Amino acid sequence: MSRVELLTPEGLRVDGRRANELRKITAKTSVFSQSDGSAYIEQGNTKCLAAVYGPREVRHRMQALADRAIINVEFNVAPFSTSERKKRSKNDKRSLEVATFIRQTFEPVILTSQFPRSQIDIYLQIFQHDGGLLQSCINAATLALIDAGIPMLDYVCACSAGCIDKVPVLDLNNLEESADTPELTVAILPRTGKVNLLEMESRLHIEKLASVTELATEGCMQIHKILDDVVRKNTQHLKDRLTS
Amino acid sequence: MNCFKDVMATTKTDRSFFRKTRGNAIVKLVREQYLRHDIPCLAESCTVCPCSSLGDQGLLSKESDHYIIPDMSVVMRYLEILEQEEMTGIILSQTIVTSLQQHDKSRTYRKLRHIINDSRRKSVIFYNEVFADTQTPRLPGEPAGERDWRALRKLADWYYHHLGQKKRIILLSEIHPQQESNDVCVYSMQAYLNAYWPTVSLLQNLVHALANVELEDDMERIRMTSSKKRGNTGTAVQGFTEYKSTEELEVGIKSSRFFSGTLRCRSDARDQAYVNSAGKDILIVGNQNRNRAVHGDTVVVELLSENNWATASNEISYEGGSTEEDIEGSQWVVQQTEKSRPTGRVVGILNRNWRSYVATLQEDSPDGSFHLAVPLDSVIPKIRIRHQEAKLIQNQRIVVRIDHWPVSSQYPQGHYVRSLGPIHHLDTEISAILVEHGISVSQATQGFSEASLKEMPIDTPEMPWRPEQDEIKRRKDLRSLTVFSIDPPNCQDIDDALSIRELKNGNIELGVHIADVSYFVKEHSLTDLEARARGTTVYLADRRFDMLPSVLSERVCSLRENVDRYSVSVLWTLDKSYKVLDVWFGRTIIRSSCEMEYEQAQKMLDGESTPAGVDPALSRKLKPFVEKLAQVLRTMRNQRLAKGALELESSEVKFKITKDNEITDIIPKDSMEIHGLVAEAMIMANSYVGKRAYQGYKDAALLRRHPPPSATQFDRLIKAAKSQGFSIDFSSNRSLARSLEIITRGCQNNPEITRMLKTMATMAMNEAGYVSSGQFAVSDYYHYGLALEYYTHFTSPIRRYADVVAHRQLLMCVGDSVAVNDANVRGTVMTQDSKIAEICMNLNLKSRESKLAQRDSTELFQSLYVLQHTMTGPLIESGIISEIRSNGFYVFLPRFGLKGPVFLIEKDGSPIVPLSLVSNKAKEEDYIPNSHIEVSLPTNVSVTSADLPHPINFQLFDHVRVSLKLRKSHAHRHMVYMTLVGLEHTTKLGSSQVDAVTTAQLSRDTMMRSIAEQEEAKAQANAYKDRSKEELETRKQMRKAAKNNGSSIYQLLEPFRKMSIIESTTSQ
Repeated sequence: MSRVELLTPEGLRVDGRRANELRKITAKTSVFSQSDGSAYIEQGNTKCLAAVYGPREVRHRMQALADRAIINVEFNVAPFSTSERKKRSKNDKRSLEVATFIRQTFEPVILTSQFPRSQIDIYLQIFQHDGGLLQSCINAATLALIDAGIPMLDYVCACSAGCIDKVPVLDLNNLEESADTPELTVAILPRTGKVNLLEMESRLHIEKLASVTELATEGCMQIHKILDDVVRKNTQHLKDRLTS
Repeated sequence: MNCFKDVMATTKTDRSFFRKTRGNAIVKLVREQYLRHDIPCLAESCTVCPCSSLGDQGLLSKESDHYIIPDMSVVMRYLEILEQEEMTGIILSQTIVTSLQQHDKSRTYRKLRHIINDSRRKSVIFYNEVFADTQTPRLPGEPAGERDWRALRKLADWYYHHLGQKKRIILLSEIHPQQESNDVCVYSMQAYLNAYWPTVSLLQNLVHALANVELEDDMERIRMTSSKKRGNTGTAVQGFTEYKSTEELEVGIKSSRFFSGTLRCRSDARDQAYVNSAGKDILIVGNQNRNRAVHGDTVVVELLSENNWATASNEISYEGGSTEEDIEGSQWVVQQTEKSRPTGRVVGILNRNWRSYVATLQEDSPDGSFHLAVPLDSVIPKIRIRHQEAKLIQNQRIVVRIDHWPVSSQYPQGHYVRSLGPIHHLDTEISAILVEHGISVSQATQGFSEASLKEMPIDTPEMPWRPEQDEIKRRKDLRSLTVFSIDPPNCQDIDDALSIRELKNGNIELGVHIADVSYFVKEHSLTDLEARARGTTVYLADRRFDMLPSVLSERVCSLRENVDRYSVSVLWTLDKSYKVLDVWFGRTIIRSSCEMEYEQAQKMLDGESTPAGVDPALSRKLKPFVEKLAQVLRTMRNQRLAKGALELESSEVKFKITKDNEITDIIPKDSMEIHGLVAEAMIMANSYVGKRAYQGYKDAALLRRHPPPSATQFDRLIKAAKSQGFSIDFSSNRSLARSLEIITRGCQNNPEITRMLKTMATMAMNEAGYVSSGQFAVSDYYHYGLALEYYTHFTSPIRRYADVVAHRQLLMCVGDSVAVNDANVRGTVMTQDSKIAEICMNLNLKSRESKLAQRDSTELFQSLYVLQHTMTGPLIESGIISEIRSNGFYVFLPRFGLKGPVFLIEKDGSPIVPLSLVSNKAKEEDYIPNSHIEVSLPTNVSVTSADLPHPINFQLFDHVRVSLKLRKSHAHRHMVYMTLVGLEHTTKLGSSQVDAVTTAQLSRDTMMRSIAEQEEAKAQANAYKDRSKEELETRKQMRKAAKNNGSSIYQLLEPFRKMSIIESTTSQ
């Protein structure tokens, strides 16, 4: 029984946002010194850490490809990420699926042909889960890959959008997600606008698909701005350290 | 980060709280909260916020010198006062809204929403919890109630300063001490009303009544604390038990241990009720099992063990109540079977659905302050009210509301609201009907606010309204076209007119012209809001309650003859075989050449060239048009019928009323061919507009759908038809139509049976309803009865709001410049699915209620007629047995359109079959002694007795003669019932054969006696020839039927001859 009005007639959502507003995003790169590249991103209360290793030698020789690097993604949700402790096994099908999505999203963007017979590892860890797992993972991975200096075509920015009472809403939080709201995640390359990933598991009226996708794409553009800002700030910081 | 802040102007905070889970673990939940700076204050006098751009919302009025902010205690207790139309300038805080939602008071929330949405109330909702300047985080260790109060104080302070310290802000609270000051003061409801509304007696009365009310929630809270102290509350009476806790109910429903649904009590069997849960009915027998639930509540039911299951009662109630089944309730009547059914008991209530009830104080109630009020609606239990001066409201219809029903009380507790007037006065009873069916006070008084009348165009005899020149240029000018309207006599609100002409290339142009209401009633105008709330014009038997001001409905919009009028037209181009080639929609200007009556038009069709009442020259001119029109529409109709449209019937009647409320006659509404033809043109227009609107707004078009009925709904019809030797194929609407057609052809000599069966088919149908196309799948738009893919209501914008919406949508679809401009300037909700769905919900409710009100008023007038006409002598009529129940049957009188009960068994179980059936001489009060009644549902009742030579058989659709009587009642409307006077033997040969088999053992002399009996019946029939001619005419059909069977003694003897053959064969 859902008692809470997810979207009031005045257009406000449960957490005080309007339909087309993102949650607050804070991000930081180079949070680890151990890994080649790392990033931490908070989107609202969803908190995600990404660490990138590589390109390095392929661990299992059998898997090595002669013409390009292979990408390996591991995705993990901390048991303490939700209000009730829940332990997920390592081979949880949901986690594996998310990992596959992310690998497939990045495979065409990373210039893998530059690193034949090598491997790039992306490790993703969710610390706090408040909706929008996939999108924050992709955004974190993008930042970490950039931090690691791995050549890519462009940023990959992901954003989710849903549909509450026929109104498209951006960036659902956990409360909204758990009320069976149809949700769709889009990942795009912001410079070209090419869509890298489009994932939706629920029923959505076909008439609404276009407007929801459009809203999600706009969200991606906003996220791009934020991510770009973070990267530039970080680079500036490094540059300042070099000169001083 | 900068860009982020610019875009959103919000700050992020976290709100954390603890909650208990299902498994009783305590978890900490963290929710984000974004604090905004852009919440508008929604006050007209504010210069800072961008409020005025928010089109359709009501803003806090500039004139008012104070605004009120109610707190939770006021909302819970005095909601009814807040709902009164006098109360304006209410600021509803988000604090209240969240706490209502947390405590599962969605109904209270909906009611508050209703106030906010009504822009005349000048009330707003303010999101103080997400607004940076007013948000109040909970301090460590602070109780929730105190934080809420602090939040409200902060809100009040903010408003006071924000509005330039000019307006007083009044916080209403029952808990917190009163505080007088010039800026923000705290009042209790009582003190507030004393200060601002000292003279409004209704409010003053209400506040007194409500102050003494014990709220159900208070009770719950008391119960929770006292149960630990072991039962200080009164003991449960009558086997009532406490409701289970909400969590327990939720778990039970999810695990299908409990079932939830809306409780429907039966008006004809007081101790039985039904809960429809997921398509199946659960029976609830007795007060004890109903456990304080009232008709209409959403309840949770637990099933009883199977050996406690009961059978549904099938008796006619002796105390009256409605004689016809409710539209909604018709389903279970159909499903009646002998076997026992799932039976349950109420264990909890999810939502009370209490409204205002019309009631009467119980007669001989003792002096004192507590009284029992008996509601008019027999499905509602008696209500205990407290009133000091009961003498004043004795013998009056009063409005009562239920407050709560404690477990220790046999009756629900309520309070008195107002009086409607002395009982059994026509005006009182009419207002009772209006209150019972939720028709708003403003509509009942026929009034419109000054401000809304100011929006209306001027049309007085001195200054008649004329179309504007600009508008004429913009519209398609059809004034030269011959347009005419066909309506009932004395019709004031003509909203449709027709035209037809032959084009030069031989094609035909058919036109339907509808009054252009949406031009005058702009969206969001006061008139529009009022009309939207009213939904429909309510027609009662002797009066009507308009949806629009009369200057529009009777004058400026009404398509009168020989004046220029704006209209919205649908013009079809048809080829020679009447196939639609093209259709044009748009705004036009027309000039009707004639307001025809149905009868005149029908006469033209019948070949009369100059019917009475029409100017001869004009009628000569119009006749070819009418004929051509009829020709085209007949073709259209046949095409649609071929697709599977149903021709259904209902029995409607008109009353002839003199000035002093004397009813001189009841006339069944006749239907001529022309009625069907005009309706066909309207159906055609509606369906084309529906389709066009759907093409334009795929997810927000207002459509009318009619869902196909399910098989169980046909049970009764099938059995009834079977008794007459017909079968019904209901697999699709086309097959059903074909079955009905076969019946029509089969019973040509007995049209009443066809009519009864068709009425039954109508009852089996689902209700058609308005929907927004975005809410349903495309396949669900189908209109079953009319066999159309898309249907809407477009042709009566003067009396239905749905049509106004359809007009706006259509005009925006076709890009009409005025409509598009209006939509841009004023803003429109006509393209928003959720808003249209909301409107549809209201319209469905209103149209159902207005239909029920109309039915109630018809019943009222029928009983008045019986009252007035039984004073001088008995009123004897012939009728048909329409439904057989276990203690009698219902008889339908076609002449009055009235269905009433005939009892064969008295309340105490003794049979009462009048002796007059057997011999003509017996007095009315004499009953056949020692009789025994056998009922075989649903088609047969037989009366046997030792003294009776052979059983008397009553079959479904038998013709009987009955005497109409009135059972007078104090608390209810008078109820019409009937007693048997005689049988009319028009039974077909087939059924008499059945009779013959059962009575095969008759001796010769009893045979002779029955012959004599039939002769007597015949003699009776002859006696009526002496009656007035007028009455005879109405019985023509009956007599014809009687003649067929009883013209000679030989024919009479025929069945007996056959019987004797059987006798001889059986004896062998």
